Amino acid sequence: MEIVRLLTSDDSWDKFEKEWANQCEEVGDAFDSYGAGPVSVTRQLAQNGSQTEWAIALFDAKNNRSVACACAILATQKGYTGKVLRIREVIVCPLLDYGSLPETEYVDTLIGLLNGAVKLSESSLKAKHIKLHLRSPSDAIFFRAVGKSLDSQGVFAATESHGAWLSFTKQSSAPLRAV
Amino acid sequence: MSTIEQELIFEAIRNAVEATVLELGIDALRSLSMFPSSTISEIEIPIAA
Repeated sequence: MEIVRLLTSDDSWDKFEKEWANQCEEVGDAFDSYGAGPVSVTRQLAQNGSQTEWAIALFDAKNNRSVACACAILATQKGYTGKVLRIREVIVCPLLDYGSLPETEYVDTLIGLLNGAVKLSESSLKAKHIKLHLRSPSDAIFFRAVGKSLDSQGVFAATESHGAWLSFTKQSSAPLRAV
Repeated sequence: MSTIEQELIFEAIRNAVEATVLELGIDALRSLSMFPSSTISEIEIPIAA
């Protein structure tokens, strides 16, 4: 799986929207109301073409399917040395949401998203810190457990939870130990 | 970051997610806000932090 940028200035957003509209039709939902808030915010980023605020999709090339979309925002933030890449408004595709795909794809999608954020922070949106917005109490419980597990493996310099955000700080020069 | 370092992070992320799913169950993953149909009634945490 890989993160791809979505833009209205090329046909990437249109393709994405059509794909998810078809998926909605398949599961009996309407794309206009599917994940309305997050999709609307993501669409705005697809329209503005900013260098630092991207609309992104997690694309599963094997199945030729966009399995999630989100906003990826590169910024500086008080209290952080170096750039921060914020991942917000994550929504999975209708087929996943409606349980039309195997449960293993839930896990693979989440892993793909986190791995994709790391890759993005090493390429087009270079950042030392990655922050994931926790939009609900369920998010907070689940991702804090993920963070705790990651912290125990020592691959990040720090994994911390601040309010509604989970942040990962990458190692700068210290070698990573095998996990 | 080298390719090897990235691979170690990817492996750690996979381990962490799989361990969390084992610990909390697949329903805990399914109840995340990224699944729109399962979180409609949830109260969202304010974004400022």
